[in-house]
Parts: sequence; C-alpha cells; structure tokens
Amino acid sequence: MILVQLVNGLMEGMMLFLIASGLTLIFGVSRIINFAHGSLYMLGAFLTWQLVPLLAPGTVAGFFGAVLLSAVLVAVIGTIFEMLILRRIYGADTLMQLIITIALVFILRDAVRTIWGPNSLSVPMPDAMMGALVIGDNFFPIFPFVIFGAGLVVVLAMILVIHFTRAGILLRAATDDRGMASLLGVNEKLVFTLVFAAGCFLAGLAGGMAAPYGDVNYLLDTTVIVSAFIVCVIGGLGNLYGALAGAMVVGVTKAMGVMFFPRLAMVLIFLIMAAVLVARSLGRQAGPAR
Amino acid sequence: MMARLARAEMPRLRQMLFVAGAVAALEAVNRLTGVSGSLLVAEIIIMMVFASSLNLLMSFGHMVSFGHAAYFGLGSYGFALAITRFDVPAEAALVFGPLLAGIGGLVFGALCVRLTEIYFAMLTLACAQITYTVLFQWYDFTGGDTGLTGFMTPRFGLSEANFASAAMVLALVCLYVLWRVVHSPLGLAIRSVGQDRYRAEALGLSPRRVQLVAFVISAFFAGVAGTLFAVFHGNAFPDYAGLGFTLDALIMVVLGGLNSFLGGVWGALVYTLLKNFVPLMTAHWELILGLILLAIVLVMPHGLAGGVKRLAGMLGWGALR
Amino acid sequence: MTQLRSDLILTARGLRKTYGQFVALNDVNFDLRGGEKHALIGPNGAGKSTFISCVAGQLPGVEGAVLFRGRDIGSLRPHQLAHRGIGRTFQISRTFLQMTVLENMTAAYVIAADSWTSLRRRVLARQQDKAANMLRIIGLSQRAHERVLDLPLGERKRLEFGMALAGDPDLLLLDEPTAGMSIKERHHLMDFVAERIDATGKTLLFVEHDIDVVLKIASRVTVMVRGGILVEGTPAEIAANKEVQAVYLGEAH
Repeated sequence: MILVQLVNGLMEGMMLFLIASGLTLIFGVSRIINFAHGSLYMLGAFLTWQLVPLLAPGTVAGFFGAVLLSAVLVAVIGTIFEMLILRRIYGADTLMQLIITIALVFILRDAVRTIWGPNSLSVPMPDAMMGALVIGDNFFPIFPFVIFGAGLVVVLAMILVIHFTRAGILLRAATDDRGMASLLGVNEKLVFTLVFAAGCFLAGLAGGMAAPYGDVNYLLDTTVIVSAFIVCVIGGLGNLYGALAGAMVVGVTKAMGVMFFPRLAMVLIFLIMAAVLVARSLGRQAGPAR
Repeated sequence: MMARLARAEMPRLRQMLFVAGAVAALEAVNRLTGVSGSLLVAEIIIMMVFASSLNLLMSFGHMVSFGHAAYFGLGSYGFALAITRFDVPAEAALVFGPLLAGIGGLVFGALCVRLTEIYFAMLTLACAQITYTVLFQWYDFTGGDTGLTGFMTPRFGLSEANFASAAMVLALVCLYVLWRVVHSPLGLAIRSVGQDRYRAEALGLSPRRVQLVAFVISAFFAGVAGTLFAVFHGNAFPDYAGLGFTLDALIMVVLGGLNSFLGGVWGALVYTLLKNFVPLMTAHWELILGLILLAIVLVMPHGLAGGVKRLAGMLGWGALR
Repeated sequence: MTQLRSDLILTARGLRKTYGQFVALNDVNFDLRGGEKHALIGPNGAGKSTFISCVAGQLPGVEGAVLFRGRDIGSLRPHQLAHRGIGRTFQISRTFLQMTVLENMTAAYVIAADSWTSLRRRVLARQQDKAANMLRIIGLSQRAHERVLDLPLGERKRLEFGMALAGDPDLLLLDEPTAGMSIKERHHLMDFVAERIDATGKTLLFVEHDIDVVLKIASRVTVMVRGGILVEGTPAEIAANKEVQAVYLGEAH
C-alpha cells in the first residue's frame, strides 16, 4: 500500500514538475511571475481534447501528436501575449506584472468557457494505455507510467538543451545575471520572448498530457497555478532542478499524507512551503550593494 | 510653519464637504432604490473597508499581500465561531472577528515581514491557503465546506436599508482611523519603510517591526470587513478566506488607484458595481475585467483615484486625495 | 596598540570580509579620533565602501571587532547603530523619493525621536517644526513641498545629508557623497558638509574620489589598496607620499 502511494506520489510529482518547470524557467530569466501559467495549462488540456478526435483517436501516436500540437499552439498564444503586452512592463514593479498576468487569467478563462462551455470534458486515453500492471497484489495503472516516462524524456531534453547547446548556455547566463547576457551580445528581448514561449510550451504540454487523468474544465487554472507556485517556491524560484525536487516532495507528501492524515495533507504542503520561505529569511541579510 | 498651516487647514473643509456629500449620496441610493439597492450599498461599504485595509499595506507600506482574504475570512469565522462554539451573545461576538483577524495578522505577519517583494507575496499566499484549508477541512469545529449557517438572524434582523446605514457609520469610523494612521508619525514610518527600507533602517527604524505593525492593523480592518460580511449574510464559508476574495481585494486596490488613500474606496465602489451589473448585460464579464486590468496597467497605473486627482487638479481643487 | 585612547570615537581591529574567493577587507586596523574629518581614498575595489558598510552594520559575516566609543558594535543592526549615534548616507543617494522634501525630513526626525509608533498629530507637528528648521539650515526650504523625485541630484544629496544629521549623530559616515556630481557641485556640497561638521563638533568619515576635495576638506586621510590600509596621515603627508602617488598614477589611465 505504501509502495503504491509512493509510486503515485512520484507520478504526480512528475506531472507537477512539468507544470512548474515552465513557470520557474520564465521567472529565472525575466523575473516575471506568470499567474496565467495555470490558464495556459488549462488551454493545453482543452486543445488536446479538441485535437485527439481529429488526429488518430485511440492511438498512442494520435494522443501524443495532439498533445504536442496543443503545446505548440499554447506557445504561439503565449508568444503573442508576450510580444504585444508583457514586453512593455519588464522592469516595472512586481505588482503591475502580476496584475497583467492576472488579466490574462480572466481573459483566457472567458475564452475557454465561451469556446468549450462550462461543463467538464474528458479526454479519452489511448487504448493501449488503458490497462494496469499487476505486481503481486498491487495494481498500477499504465497511463501514469507513460506520463512519468514522457516527463523523464522532457527532463532529459531540458538537461541536454541547458548544458550542451548554445541556447542553454545563454539561458544560464541570463538566469544568473541579466547584465551578463547582454554582455554576451545576446538580444535580450529575443531571449525573453523565447523563454516565455518555452515556458508556455511546457504549460501546454503538461495540460495536454494530464488531460486524460481527470476532468478538463475552466476551473483548472487556479488549482494548477497554486500547485505550481508551491513547487517553485519549495524548489527556489528560478531553479529548474529545485523545481524537480520540489515537485517530488509535494507529490510524495500529498500521496503519503492522503494515506495517513487525509485532512491535513494540503495543510502540510503549505506548511512546507511556508517553512522553506521562512528558512530563506533566517540569518542576517546584507544591506544594499552600494 | 505658515506653509504647513496653509496647506493643512484649507483643504480640510473641502474634504469634509466631500465626505458628507458622498455619504449623503450613498444614503440616498440606500433609501430610494429599495431592498436590492440597499443590499448593494451594504456590499459596497463592506468592500470599501476590506479594500482600504489592503490599501494601507500596498499603497503606503509597498507590501503586496497575496493572501489578504485570510484576515477577511478569520474575521467572519472569529465572529461566527464565538457564537456557535463558545455561546458568546451575537452582539458581543462582533469583537471576536477583528480580534481573531488581528491575531492571525500578528502570527502570519511576523513570518511574512522577514521576506520582501515576491517572496513576501508568496508567503502571504501560503498563509492564506493554510487558513483556507484549515477552515475547509476542520469539519468538527468550522463546519468544513458547508460553513457555519443559521447561527443568527442575518443583519441582526435590521432592515436592509438600516443595516446599510449602520455599516456606513462603522465604515466611516474605520476609514477615519485608517486616515489618522496614514497621516500620523506611524504612517510616516510605514511609508518610509515602504519607499526605502535601507534609508529607514539607517535613520533608526527596524523595518520589520514597522511592517508588522502595518500588517496587524491591516489584518484587523480586514477582519472588521469580514465580520460585517458574516453579519450581512448570517453565515461564514471557507471561501471568504479563499483566493477569490484575495483577488477581489487586489483588483479593487489597483483599479481604485495605488498611492492614494481613497484608492480602496473608489475601487470597491466601481468594482462592486461592475461585478453586479456587467454580468446582467453580457456573458463575458471576465473578458471585460481582464481588459480593464490591462488598461489600468498600461494606460493609467494610478487607477481611478489618479484619474480623479488629475480631474480635480484641472478643476482647481487639490484636496481630493 | 590594544590600549584605547579616550579620544578615539571609532576603532576597528582585524576587520576581515570575504566574498567567496575575493578578499574585500584584509585584517584592517583603523582608528578615528573625535572631531576629525577623515577621508578614505583609494582605487576602485580597495574596500572603502565595504569598510563603511561594516561599520554601519550592513554586512553579515564580518570577522574582527568594531568599537564605537569603546563599545563593541559588531553585532548591532543598522537601526540600532543609528540610535547609538552613527548617521550615514549611501553611495547611491537614498531618500524617500515619492514623499515631499518636508516629509522626508520629518520622517528622519520622527524616527530619530523614536516616536514612530505615535498616532498623535501634535507629535507630528513638533517633529515637522524641527524638520522645517533643518530644511532652512540646508537651504531647501523653498523645496519643502516638492517631491524628492523632482529634485536634482545635488539637492537630493544635500537632503540626505540633512536627514543623517536629524538624529544628531556623533559620527557621520558618507559613502561617496559627491558621486555623479559636477566639480562645482562637489565643492559646493562638501564645503557645506565641512562647515556643518565644524559648526556642530561632529566626526566625519567619508569616501571620496576627487582628490582636490579631499585635500581641501579632510583633516586626516587614509589610503586603502586591495582590502588593506596603505598609509594614513595628514593631507599634506599623503600628497607627498611616493607610494600613494604610484597607486594613483597606476590608477590613472
């Protein structure tokens, strides 16, 4: 039983990482907290619902094709938003940036409800992933494993990109020090746009992959964004590997918590988040640099 | 000396006339538009207190709270729980709402003020979600998601119009106290830390202590609003401490205008009106809200109060701040 | 060496501060006598600002001891130091930009009097009168009701200096008070600072790049190089010092 919950926890952790990775990536480079990240996730889920029957319903390739295509569409929408609006307020105060992305939350929620209606939809799993593995007395549904595997592929791809490509080196430079990137002769605007697009792509990807997992409805945005915040904060905002660790901590804590003290599971997670933040503040802080 | 007197005394009369006019106008709407009008007026007034409490933090302390509903919710529950679980008479229980909110503000605030900027916002969010989850999950004590209902006659049995009038009096008292805070030595300290914590520290202020005081005052008045809201509806639900109310308060402050005392008041008025009337006209309320927020940030970052101030400036009355 | 003379207002012993591999301060020993106008000079990265920040309690992880009037102040926070009698200005001027000049100065007095918890108008009015008086002294009365944001840099610096005076500190730390100013403005501000210091009998420790200003204002000069103190002396001694000339000629491009 514990094993099953542990596995479930890791599965959920991977899902959470996919969601949070985009958020933390964007924050790391442009210091924008994208409150609409959950909305983009939701959009990915709805687009996947729309696209699965159009491509090759029931097949694995059809499902992943739909997910990828949705992610690309979400990235395109995100990029348009970045270029038209967000770009104007880089460097403005945090509050204004938050309000802008909150505005996007409302706009996307309205759009989703107008297009797909207020009721929950469900995305069918590909036939080949419907079953369950039986190990001893334990049943493990296959689909979460596939998602976990796909998540691993994304993680590995990210590591490869970050460590072994020119784009990744620039990304790391931009995350560490924004002045640095411009010294390297990088077009800062372009970097911000590309990173935002990549973050949106990841949100859409996560939304699409998770779509068969539960209901797809227009209330997903806030639940998802809050989870993503928790993961990012626990891992350290802007820290990709931290987000991976944070996602696993949250996933496993949730799964284990549900087993031992179901009512306190969510409180526990917020307490971890609060504890991490308070730990940040311990010790003496330095004054201004100059 | 002379300069100070000239600046301080002249506009006071205008300010008082303005307040009297606003109260008279609201009271006229309250009395002339029937039950639905009175309900709307009461809601607007409660939200004015709620938004103004957040405005103290945001406009003067430059602290962006992302979990202000926690203290609104604690206000509602402090009141409702005192009646339902501790058999306190309803009238006396009124004290417990703001008190619980203030205590919540003290505990959470002590943690939150250790952080700044986005981390401060994130911790206020975490604190609010903890509050919400506890209210939601603790069935035996808080009633869980079914909330607390039926513990009193809503509005103490006052008519809608009389309740709105009573709320207006209480709101005026709250706003007056907040106004005094902003224009006192304490207010100056809160603004100082908000604008440059290092300068304030070098002058001899402990930034965290000042911020904590501001946080508790703000939580207390959010608690007053929450208590009023519980009296208004005769119930308390976990949602009162949820993300929805947090966002409402933030939107009201930003819409009304940052950096001005009346920002929360204008914001509460306009936002509550929009929220009540726009959905009657179109199904796309959220789209409109999103576009309004975009417009605020991109076109008028000082919100409605900024606009009013500019208008007042053009008309030659510098007093409406 | 370890014996403290009673006229020493500030003493640093074995001060050391590192940032990773970089040693910003390397075993600095420093004495400041009451009533001095003491200049810290040296090339960029010599550790002048770091030293000021150490004394002002703004840096964590500093080794060594700082004594103010014979008492260890190493563990005190900046706001505690302010109440002990140390005032300061910052390299990049720090004032409350969105507030008026008068409000800035009033805030300084309210804080110095430790009456910030008050809600009373009378308390505010009393501090406001003191603030108005200080504005007259620093020549900013005409600007009292303007926002600091709308002030030119020179006047902001002057305001910041006046705010640092509000607490009637015994020791004033000015970290590059004239950074970013024209030559004329520099002399104007520093002449004024020197005049105020002389008039009030306070002690001044300041970082300054303009050697002409230093030679004109300072009563003593300390030259720092690479995290340590190269030499200390009167302006005349420093001007004649071969090592110092070498450092400055090496620095000049």
